[in-house]
Parts: sequence; structure tokens; C-alpha cells
Amino acid sequence: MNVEVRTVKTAAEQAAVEQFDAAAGGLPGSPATAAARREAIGRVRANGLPHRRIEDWKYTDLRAALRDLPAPAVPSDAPIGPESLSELDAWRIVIIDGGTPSIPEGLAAQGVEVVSLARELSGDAGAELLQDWPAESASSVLDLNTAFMSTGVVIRVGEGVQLDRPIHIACVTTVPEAASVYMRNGLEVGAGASATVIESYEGPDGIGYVVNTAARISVGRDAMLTLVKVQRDGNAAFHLSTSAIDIAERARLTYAPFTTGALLSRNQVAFAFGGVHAELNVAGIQLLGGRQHGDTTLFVDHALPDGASRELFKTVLDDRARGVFQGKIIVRKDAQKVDGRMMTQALMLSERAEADNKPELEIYADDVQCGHGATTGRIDENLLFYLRARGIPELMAKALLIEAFIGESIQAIGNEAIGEALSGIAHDWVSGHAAGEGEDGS
Amino acid sequence: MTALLEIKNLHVKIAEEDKEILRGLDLTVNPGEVHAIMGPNGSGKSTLSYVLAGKDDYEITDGEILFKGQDLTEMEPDERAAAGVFLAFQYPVEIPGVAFMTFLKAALNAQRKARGEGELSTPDFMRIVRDKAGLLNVSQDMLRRPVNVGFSGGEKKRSEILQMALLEPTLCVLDETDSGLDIDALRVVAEGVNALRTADRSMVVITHYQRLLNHIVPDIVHVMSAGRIVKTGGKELAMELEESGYAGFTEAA
Repeated sequence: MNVEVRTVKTAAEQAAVEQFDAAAGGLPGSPATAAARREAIGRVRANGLPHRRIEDWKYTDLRAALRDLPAPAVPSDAPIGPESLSELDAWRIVIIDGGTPSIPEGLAAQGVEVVSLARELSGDAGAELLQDWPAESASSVLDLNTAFMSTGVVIRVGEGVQLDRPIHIACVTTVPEAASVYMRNGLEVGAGASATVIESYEGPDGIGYVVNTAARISVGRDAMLTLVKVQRDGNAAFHLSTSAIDIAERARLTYAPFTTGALLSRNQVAFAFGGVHAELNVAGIQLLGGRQHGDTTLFVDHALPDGASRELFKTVLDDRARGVFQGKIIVRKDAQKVDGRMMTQALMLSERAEADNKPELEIYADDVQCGHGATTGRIDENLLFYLRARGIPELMAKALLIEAFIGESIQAIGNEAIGEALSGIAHDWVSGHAAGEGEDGS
Repeated sequence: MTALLEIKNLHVKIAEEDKEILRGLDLTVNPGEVHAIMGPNGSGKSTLSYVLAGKDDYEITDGEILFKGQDLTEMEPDERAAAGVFLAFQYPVEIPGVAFMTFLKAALNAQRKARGEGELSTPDFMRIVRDKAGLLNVSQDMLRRPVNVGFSGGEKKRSEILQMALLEPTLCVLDETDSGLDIDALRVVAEGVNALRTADRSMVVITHYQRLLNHIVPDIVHVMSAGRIVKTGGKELAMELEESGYAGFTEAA
């Protein structure tokens, strides 16, 4: 690792160590968990927060951006339902300010086991959540999550179970002043099962709270999973997310990250193909304005033959927003006949916005089909004129074109109800930004 | 009779360039008239159509354009459309992600709203589109696709005429509507256009070739060269051009 030895700690790094000393005794888990937490905070102490001289964090200098680390949130029992996606018919698990998850009773009868993180960590099974992470997920962000994780759920969808409705994990932050929420979830989709799982995040504007979330996910043989992540945290918040997903033989995974919240966000996902003939479909959207910084970093590891991955990632940037997309595909020596495609497109509504696209392919097999593309552009004046020449006013015409740009990714999710919900969120965002060059958000 | 469109001494250059494209163009179109504008490539025909529709790549340096007595140049493209100006594009653009029906409805209702008329209900709208689409051989499949995406050359032109039929403009500007059409497609498009001829709807048909004018018979034919109208006559002028070519006129200019 290209980590330098430093003696000077930032306030945030110092705070992490001090907060851990104060909080460690009250955090859930077995003695093995406590040991893992101590090791993790030890690495944070040694490495500090990720900064721009670490290659993967070149565009997102968290050390510089996160000046202070707020103390862990005090769990809330406030009876507040999620706003986001509340119109979707779903099994809803609500977590408020890092508190105890509310788990719907009917899920067990569906063949789905759900336990809280605290319970999981107190038993032997918790080891998987602690140790079984790929090297690509390693960072001080994940280490902080390991050290402080206090809420979350572990969901096990039984073999062959066909879930009737999506499971929606709503992480709602209501803190009146800056605080940190550390959530860790586990999701296992059994062989031949079929499930849709949505994670949503939301919180108040103007408060510099931190959400640090991690998810360890596996999709079993012949299973299907649609995983949607809707990030609408407050406009001063930090959203840090690390996920690792294993895809077994003939499994099909659709992953749809939808990012429109937080002052700074990092959504880092490592996908590993653990079986042949598996398929990954990524349909991503990032809508940012003001001075928002959104970073989506995906790593796809084709270790075995006959896999397919499709990535389509759309970013719309207004004001001084900065959108980062890093996508790396590795095709290992034995992974013949792999079909890997990645397309990332940014639409700029403002001259002052910045898009950083970094697609990477590393191919060691000789019989594969792989490709990537990256485009950055403004609204096409010819299309805009055509719409206006038919009587559609400029703002409405721009909104139509922006929504059309986003729509391609929404369609790629392949779920009508979720598509409609996301289109609604996108429509509201676009209505506020179609004019372009608007006021900087605060 | 008040002219529908009056262009006087129009001078136009490409914005940010010095090259003048229209150089003192005069044209008067009365209600119900069909005018053909013919001319060689580079004479400024397409520029005239874009200037009428309000494309902002051009700068008007002199002259005026009055539409129903109002200064057209002061209006935004969408305001012109709502006022009754329609340009059938030579190269209709493809708009991925915008469904054709969504687009048609947005356009029609935006124009109705701008004119202070109520929006059409979805069933009413669907019925009108189906009726008009049938006449133009526009299939349900085309209506279900995104705007012009995957349409053949002929389908794109029929899509333009369908929009024209739906939006019911008072001034139709057809820019090289015959380009890229085989004879059968040309006939369908021409029939669609002819069906829209009324006593108070005028048309300006821009074309390089005379063959379109066998199907859409004009009242008046103009020859354009080097940015202005150099000769005006009846439909026999088009026949004359077909025989002798543009050479005699371009030299005269």
C-alpha cells in the first residue's frame, strides 16, 4: 500500500481515536468483534483518512474535506417514517439516527431471516461480516465502520424464495447537530432465490453529519438480486459507503446506485464473480448541484469464464458540483469469453462543474470482449432547438432532454415501480436545475 | 388583404462570422398561398428556414420579418411555434429517451397553453394522433419509439408532416422535404401536405429539385441565388428551371 508515515494527525483523525476510546465499551458484539474493532482503529491511527496521494482517492481527498469527525449519533426512537420512496410497496426496515432497526414481522413467513447487526455480532456468524472483505474494499473508511458500527441488519433470503415485494432499508438521519452514524448490513440471497433490496439514505440539510455505511452481500447460484441504493442525504452531510458483492454461478445482479444527496459522497463497490455464467448489470445515476462532490468507484473482478458485466453510469452536474466515476474491470487469466462493457456519461449544465471519469480495463485472458467509453458534454443545442421549434418552452425542453439522458439508466434497472419512483425524484431535481448556472447551494 | 409573412430587405450572417448569407431578401406570402423557393446549394434557402424558425446561430444585420404584422425576430422559437410558424426540418433530429407521444403531447399542450387554450385530455389527444397518423401511414410502432429514433429517411419526413398536421400552424416552412425520399414516400408526404392546404394556411416549400412541385403544386415560384430572390413567376418557372438549370439565374445575380 502506498501509505506514507505521518505523525501529524488531522482533527478528524485525532477525534476518531479519542471517540473510540470513549465508545468502545458500549459497542455491540462478541470478544472477537471487540478485537476486530481495536485492530481497525489501530489501522486508522496508522494510516489516517484517505487522501489524494492514494491512487483510488485521487479525486476525493477525504482527509482534506472531512475536517472534523462528529461523535457517534445518539440513537433516536423518534417515530419518523421515511419520506424517500414511501410510495413504494415494500417490506420496510427503518433505522433512525443509528438506532435499533424496526424489522417487519411478516418477512419470516416469506422465508427471509432478518436479524439486527447487534445480535449478529454477538454470535459466531458475525465473523463473516468482519473478516470476509476483498482487498479492494480496504480503506480507513471501512476501518472506521468496523470500529464504530452500531446498527444495521443481516438479511438472509432462503434458497428458492421469490420475494413478493422489495425489502427497503431506510436509513433516516434526524440529528439536530452533527453526529456520525455507522451502519453495517449483510445480505445473502440463497440459491435460486429472487429479491429486490433498496437502501435509502436521507437527512436534514445544513447539518454536517456523517453516514458511514458498509454492506457485505452475496448472490447465490441461479439467484437474482436487484439492489438499489438511493442516497439523498442532507446537503452538508458526508456519505461514505463501502460494499462488496459476490456473484455466484449463473446468478444475475442488477445494481442501481442513485446519488443526489450529501455535500461529499463516496460510494465504493467491489463486485467479484465467483462462478461461471454470472451477469452483472450496473445502472447508475448521479445528480449533483451546488458544491456537491459525488464519487462512485466500482471494481469488477471477472475471475471466472463466461461472465458478463454491463455498466451504464449517468452523471448530471450543475453549479460547481463535481462528479467522479472510477470504474475498473479486471479480467483474470482464466476468465475466457467474458463480456465486459462500461459506459460513463456526464451532462454538464454549468461551465463551472467538473466531471472526472476514470474507466480502466485490465485484461489477462485472451478471448474476451471488453470495452469502455466515457463522454462529457452539454445539452445538445440541435435537440433543444428542435423541441423549441415545436413550441416547447426552453426550460421544459431542457428538462425533457435531461430526463431523457437519465432515463436510459433508469430503464436499465428493469423494474417499473422503482423506475417510476426514481424518475419522480429525478424530475424534481431536474425541475430545480434545468435553468443551469443556478445559485450555488449551501 | 394583410400579408401573413412579410420579409423586407433581410440581411443575415452567421453569428460570430462575417460571411453574409442572406443579402437583401424580400418575400411576401399571403394567407392560403403556396410559395416554392428554388435555388442551387449555398443560395441561402435553408438559412431562410432556420431564421424564420428562430435558430440562434444567425444574426440579422438588417431588414425585418413581420408575421401577422408582428416582428417575428423578437420572438423565441417556442413563441413563434405557438404563434403558428412550423418548420419541417430537412434533417429531423433523433431524440433518444423522449417518447414520440410524450413529445407530441408536450408540444401541442405547450402551444395551447401559450395561446390561452386548455390542455387536451389524454384520450382526446390519443384519438387525434391516431386519426392523423393513419392518414400519413405512421404506424403505432413509430409512435411508441423515441422521437425519430430508428426512423428511416421517409419515416422521419412523415413524422414531420404528422407534427405539422397535429399542431395546425398557419405558416408551414418545408425545408427540402423531398430530400432522401423515393417516389412512393414522396407521394405519401405530398398527399399529407396537400391535405393541409386551406384558405388561411400558407406554405413556403423550399426545394432544390422541381419533382416535389409535381406533387405539391405551388401558386408562386421564386428563384433564390446568393442570398436573395432573383426571379419570381408561376409554376411554369419551375419547369423552366428543370430544363435550363440554375446557371442563367446565378449569373444574373
